[in-house]
Amino acid sequence: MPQRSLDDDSAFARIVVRDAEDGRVRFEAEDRGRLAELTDAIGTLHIGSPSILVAIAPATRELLEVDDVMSYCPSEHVEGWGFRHVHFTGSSRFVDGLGDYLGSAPHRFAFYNPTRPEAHQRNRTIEAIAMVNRTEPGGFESTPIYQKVFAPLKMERLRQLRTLICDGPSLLTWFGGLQDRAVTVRQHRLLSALIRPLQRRLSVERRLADGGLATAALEAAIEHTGSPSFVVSRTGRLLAANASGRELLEQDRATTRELLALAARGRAHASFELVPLREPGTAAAWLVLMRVSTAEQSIARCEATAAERWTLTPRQRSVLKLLIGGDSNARIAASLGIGERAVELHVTALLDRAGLDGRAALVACVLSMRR
Amino acid sequence: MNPRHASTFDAVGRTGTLSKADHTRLDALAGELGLIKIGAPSSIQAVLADFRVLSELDSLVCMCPVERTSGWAVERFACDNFPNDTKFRQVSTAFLERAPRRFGWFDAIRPEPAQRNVVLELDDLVPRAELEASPAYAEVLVPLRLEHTFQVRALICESSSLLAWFGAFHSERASPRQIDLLIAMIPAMRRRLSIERRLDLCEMVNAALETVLEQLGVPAYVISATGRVFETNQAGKALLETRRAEVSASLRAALTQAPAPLPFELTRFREHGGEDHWLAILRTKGTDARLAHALGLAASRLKLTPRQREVLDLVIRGAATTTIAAALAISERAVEQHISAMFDRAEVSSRAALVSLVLLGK
Repeated sequence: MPQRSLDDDSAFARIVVRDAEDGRVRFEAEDRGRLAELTDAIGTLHIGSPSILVAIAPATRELLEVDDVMSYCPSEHVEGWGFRHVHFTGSSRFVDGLGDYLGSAPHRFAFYNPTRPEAHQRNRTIEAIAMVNRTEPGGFESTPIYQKVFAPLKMERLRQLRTLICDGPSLLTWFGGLQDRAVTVRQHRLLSALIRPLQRRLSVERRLADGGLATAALEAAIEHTGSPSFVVSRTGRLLAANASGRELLEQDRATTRELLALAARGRAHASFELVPLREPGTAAAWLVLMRVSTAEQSIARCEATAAERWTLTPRQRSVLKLLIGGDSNARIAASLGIGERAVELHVTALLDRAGLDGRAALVACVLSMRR
Repeated sequence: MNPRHASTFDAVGRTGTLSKADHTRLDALAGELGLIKIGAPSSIQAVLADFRVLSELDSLVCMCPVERTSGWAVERFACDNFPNDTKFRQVSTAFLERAPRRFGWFDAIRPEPAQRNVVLELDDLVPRAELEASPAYAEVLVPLRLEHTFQVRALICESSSLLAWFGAFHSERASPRQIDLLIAMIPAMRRRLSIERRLDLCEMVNAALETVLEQLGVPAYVISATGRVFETNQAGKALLETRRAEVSASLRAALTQAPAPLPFELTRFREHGGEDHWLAILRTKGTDARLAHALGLAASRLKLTPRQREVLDLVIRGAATTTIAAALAISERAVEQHISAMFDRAEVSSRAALVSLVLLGK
C-alpha cells in the first residue's frame, strides 16, 4: 500500500467532532461524583509534585472505562522529535515503539500539527482514527505511524479517543484513551468534561516548568541585541535590561528613565526603537532598543582601523572620517576650514597609501574593514 | 549588623526556642504555602494571619517591590493587623512609587548577600537617629504612627533578586522565639513567592524572549544539552525546515567545540537550579556576509531593480566602471546609467557617498 504523507490536509475532510463541551450535559450521579473528585485533584497543585497526568491516569481509566489511558507531548529536537512527557497505563512496548518512530518522524507525524495544533483540534474531544477512513488511500492504515507502530504491535484495531489540550496555540498534552471497541457518547462527554480543568492545571505546570528557563534565556538573548535594550511594560514596569542598558541607567539615570517612561506609553523617540511584544495576554509590553547611532560607531571604528593600518596623519584621519561618512570635497573643506584643493591632496595621499584609484573604492575598502 | 540566620539552627534544622507544637503549626503553614488551588487567590494573606496568631507579632507584611521606569510598584501586597491595613497599604505603596533604589537600607534590585534570606532587626542595621532622618520615617512611619515600633524583617530572595520584603512591626524588640519563627518561615515563603512570580511573568517573559530572538535577525536557537529546541525564531525555523541535518550536525559539533559546517556562536546559560542550556546564534561572520546584509537592506529600502542590485553589489566592493561592465557583460555607459539611477533613489551625488550610505546602513 502506498504511504501517504500526513501533511495532506484532505485527511481531515471527514473530521468527526462530536462537540460535547455543552455545559448542560447531564451525567449519572455516580459519574458526577467521580468526575468531581477527579476535577478537584486536578485543581490542586502541590508545589514540587510530579505532573498530575501520571496521578490521574488510573482514575481516568476507571471513569472512562477505556482499556488504557495515555498522555504525551512531543518536543522538538534539532534532529527530530522526542517526548516532552509520556505516560501510558498499558504496555511499555507501545511507548518505546512510538518513541523510536518519533525520533525520525516527519514534522507532521500524526493527525495534527505538533508545534501548533490546528484551531479546530484544540481542546476538543475527537475520535482520532474515525477522523480518517481506516483503509482507503490516505486513511489510517496507509500512514507511517500505523505501519511502524500500531501494526507491528498488533494494536491496529485500537480506537483512540483523545483531546489535544492547548494553552493558546501551543500543545500542553495529548490526552485520551485507547480501546478495541467503539467509543460511546458517555465516554466522549466524560473526557470533554476534563478538558477545562486539565487545561488550567497544565498551563500552570507548563509555566512552572518553563518560566525559569525562559527568564534565563531572555537574559542571555538580550545581551546579543548589540545595543542597550530594555523590556518595559505599559505600566512602566522594567522587566529586563541587558548589561549596556543597566550601564546607561546607572550613568544617566534621570534621562534614561524618562525615555523609558515615554517608551512604556508606546511613544517613539529618535534615539530608540520600540518593538511591541507579541503577547496573547492583556498588559502589553515593549522591547526598547536604544540605537546609539550605529553609523557613527562604524565610522569611528573603521577610520581608527584604517589609521592604524596605513599610519595616517591627524589631518588625513579627519578627511577620511568625513569622506567615509559620505561628504563631498566641498563639504569636507568647509567642515575642516581648509581649501578644496587641500582636501583633494589629502584624498590623493590616502588613495596612494591604500593603493586604490577611486574615492568610491576607498570608501568601500575602509567601511569593509574589521578589527 | 547582627543577623540571626539559619546558622542558629541545631543539627536537625530545628531551633532551640521552638516547641514541638510550634513545629507542627509551622509545618501546617508550610503545607498551606506549598499548595496552589488553581484559580483561587494566593494563600499568602491567609498564612500571614495564621502566622501572626502563632508568632504573636503585632503586625505583619509581605510585599514585592518591582522595578519600574521610575520608582517601584508593589505586587502581592499582604498585611495583617495594622491599626488600619488599607491605610498602611496606601501610604507605603505611594511612598515606594517615588522611592529611590535604596529605600530601606538595602539595595532593592540586588540585595546585599549578607541581607538575603536572613532575619534582621532594623535597630541592628541602622541607628535610630539615621532612621529618624530618613524619608521612610517621615513619609511612612510617622503618618502611620509606627515610629515607635520595632521592625524585624527578612528580604526573601531568589539567587540575587528580591522576591519580597517579609517582616513585622512590633511594639517591642522581637523575642528569640519570634525571630526563630520568622527564620523558619523563609524557605516555604521563598518557594511560594518564587512560583507566584514565575506564574505572573511567564507570558510576558516568553513574549519578550520571542521578540528578542526575532530582533537578532539571524537563525537563533535556545537548546538543551540533549538537543531539545526550547525556542527559536522565524529564521531558525526556516533553516531547520530546509537544512535540518546540517543544522543539527552543526549544533552538535558546536556543543563539543568541534568544527562545524554552520558557524554557530554559543552562549551557555543556566536557570537557577536548572540544567545548562545554550543560546546558539548563527553568526554569518566575514566581510562577504556583512556586505550581503548591507546590500539586501539597501536593495529593499531603495527598491532597486535586480540589475541595479547587481551593479551596486560590485560598487560597494570598490569595483571601477570598467570592471563592473566586464563582469556583468554590459556597456560602461549602461553601468553609469544604473549608478546614476541609484543616485536619484538614494538622493546622493557621488559614488563615494552611495557606498557610504549603503555600507553604513543609513
